[in-house]
Amino acid sequence: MDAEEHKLPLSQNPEWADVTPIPQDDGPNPVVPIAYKPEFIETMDYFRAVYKANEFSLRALQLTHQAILLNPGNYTVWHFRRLILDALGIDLNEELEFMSGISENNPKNYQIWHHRRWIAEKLGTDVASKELDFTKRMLFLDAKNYHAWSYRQWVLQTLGGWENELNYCHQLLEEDVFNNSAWNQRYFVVTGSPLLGGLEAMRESEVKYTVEAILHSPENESPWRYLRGLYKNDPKSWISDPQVSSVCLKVLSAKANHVFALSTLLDLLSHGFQANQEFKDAVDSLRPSNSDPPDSDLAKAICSILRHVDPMRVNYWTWRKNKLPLSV
Amino acid sequence: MGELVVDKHVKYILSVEKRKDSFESVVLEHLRMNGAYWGLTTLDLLGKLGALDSNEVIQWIMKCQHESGGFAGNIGHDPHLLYTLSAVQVLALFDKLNVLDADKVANYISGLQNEDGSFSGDEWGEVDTRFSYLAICCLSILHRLDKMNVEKAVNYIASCKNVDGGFGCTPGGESHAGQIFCCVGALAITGSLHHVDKDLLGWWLCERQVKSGGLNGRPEKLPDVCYSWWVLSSLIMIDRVHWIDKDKLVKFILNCQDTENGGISDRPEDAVDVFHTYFGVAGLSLLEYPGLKAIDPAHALPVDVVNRIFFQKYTNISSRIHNLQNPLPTLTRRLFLPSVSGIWDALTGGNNNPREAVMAIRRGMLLFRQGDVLGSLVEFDKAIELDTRQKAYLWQRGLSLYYVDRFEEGAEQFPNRSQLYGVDEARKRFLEVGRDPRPVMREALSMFKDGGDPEKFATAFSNGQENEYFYASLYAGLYHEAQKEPEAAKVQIIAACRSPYGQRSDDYMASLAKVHCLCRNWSSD
Repeated sequence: MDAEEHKLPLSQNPEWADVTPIPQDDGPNPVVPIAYKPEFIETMDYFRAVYKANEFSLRALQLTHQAILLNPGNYTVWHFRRLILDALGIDLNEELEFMSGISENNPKNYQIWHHRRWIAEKLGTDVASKELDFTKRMLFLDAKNYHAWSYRQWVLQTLGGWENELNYCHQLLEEDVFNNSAWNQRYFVVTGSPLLGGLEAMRESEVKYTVEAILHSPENESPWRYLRGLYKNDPKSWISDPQVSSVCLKVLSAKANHVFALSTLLDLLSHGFQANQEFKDAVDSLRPSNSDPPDSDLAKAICSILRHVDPMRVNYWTWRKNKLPLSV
Repeated sequence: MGELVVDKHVKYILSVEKRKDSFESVVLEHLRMNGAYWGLTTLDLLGKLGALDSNEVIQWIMKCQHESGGFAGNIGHDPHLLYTLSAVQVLALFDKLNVLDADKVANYISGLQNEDGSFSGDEWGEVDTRFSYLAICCLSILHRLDKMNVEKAVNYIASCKNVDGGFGCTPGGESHAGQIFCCVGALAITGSLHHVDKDLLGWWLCERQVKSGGLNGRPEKLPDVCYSWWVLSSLIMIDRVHWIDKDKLVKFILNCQDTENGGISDRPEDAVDVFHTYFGVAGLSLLEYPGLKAIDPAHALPVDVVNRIFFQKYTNISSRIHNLQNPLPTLTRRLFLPSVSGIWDALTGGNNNPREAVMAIRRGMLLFRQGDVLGSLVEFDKAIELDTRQKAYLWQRGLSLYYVDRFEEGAEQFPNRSQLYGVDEARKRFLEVGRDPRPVMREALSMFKDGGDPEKFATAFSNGQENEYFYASLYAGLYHEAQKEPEAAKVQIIAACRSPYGQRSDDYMASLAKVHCLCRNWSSD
């Protein structure tokens, strides 16, 4: 039965003549029905009746459909719908169709995403690409939708479909290199995909990729963090990779948007990186003209500069400076 | 800039509570339990919880409980962890936890734990670190943490830690301030904060502050008032809140108020709702905005409510409060949390007495920081009674004794003091305390031992690192005091209080400097 056919109020619908609707029991102050949305009140009153009676029927299923359209956040309606779907053995592919219809208007609704997961789990690997397509559509509407990303990760891990994922991340980053979710997904793929060689194997090409992104917009927090993440648990490689130190130098020499370049250089130094004169000169040229006497130590100088150029976090940079070992 | 329009917000919340016929209310009726928690906690923070009939609310809450022990969002709905925690929290606000069959609720919660330690929100199986927090917080309030497998729960949360130091909803999930709050809160309550890289996460969190002063939840997203809670409480729990610009954040939150009709919105000029009103007020409380009750960052309930839950047996503390002339400084809100994880350590320790002794010491330190020196002594004495081994190590008691002028007793308290010294020597014994034996400490020690010029000593470190400047001023002041030069002492110790380290660090000695001013009736403002 199509939802659109349902124009007649339930109280006048002969199919529902045998049911007594139950109004909402809201405790001390009962709900007062108001002029707009009487359809909503009525639908919910009838829902309460079938819910209480545990009626697993097609008309009850349709009723939940109505209730969901009117208020997709009502988790109890979703629960009951699942019980009916199970009891009647309804084809869940149809259910997926229904879901796709309401998802676009409710992109951050927990119940919808969970219900979809419940269905997909039952349908299994057959729907892997369908589900990846679906999340792609949702991410097209909002590329940072946390629910969509969480769902997509679940699909990949449970149903598979990793083949194109790295490329998909690249597409999204082409559209918006500031998309932190896409960077996170890239890390997820590089470290977790059964089709790739793992973090160390992927490291060199990923560093290259990331450096390009950084040079494109050095004020972008995500690729700096991504770059650091590529060397997790391997600080020796972190400080000895020339690509890493040189991207810092490049950004510092350009003299604009250098906050993350400075903090990354600071991180390198604190892990034992030996900076040559080029670095010292580049940092030196960034010192504000009215500053206090110059710090002899490069790391300290960086902290002093950061205190000036990132005043919101002056306490953090001061703490970093204080934490530095006393210069030899 | 404006101020917090308290009365308007109270009116707004009461109107939402009462107007069940509004469209918003009808459409959100399934999560009314959450709404009750947001609204009522806000009222309590504003000091207006009495404006409602608690009996009506409690009756309604109990009607929302199911056979399984879990609570639903409203009458006629299914149970879920989300509403179970809110129900328990609201009952805690009204001091009516005793209406619950705690075991029944605890069984519902522990039944939702999965093999890998994670929690499902309800029987339908959705897994998310949010649910780990809900379960742990709720069981903690009910004193039933032993009903879950804490080790597994903690390990699951740790598996959701990302390379940036943050946490996501599941392993590999993007770091998000809301999820981070849940994970850090859960780890704090279970005494497992060692899983957090506090420096790294603290930096990630303070990078959430954008130009407008507001906080976002992930890089390159818009600020939202709700992150004033999630980011801020996380920072407090890991002891890094001084890394954000608090004044700018306060301004941002205040700008999100509807100053005409009351309520707070996600960002300036948007429509208000109870959810954001709660987070805005709670955030301001964490920022120690005047006139608001303190809130516990881990359990998200007012501190006095949490005290009642955990320290119920010791409610006679207040009758022994030391009578100070000046009003108590508001030092301690953000320092409360270390005590909470200490509680867990204490709870899972060996037999009763050492556990309770540790709790007494933590209470004593809290009281000392609040300026209640006598009260702190009561607790330290209690600790020694409960566990005599504590006597040898309780330097905190020694400091408290100093401030009630019981110098000889205080001198006995410090390690390696086998002999009784005179008053002057006893004052000098102070120096053996405090962290970080740096050059300043060595200099101070030698000054006290052999005599010296405290002014020269203080000047020598005036351009040093912040903690050195603080310690130098403090000890110069103490030296003056030992030499019976109160005016000179006052100048130095007030300088210590006003210094950045004195203002913002959590060093017990920073609190001591403030308590010193209090006891001498010096204003450090």
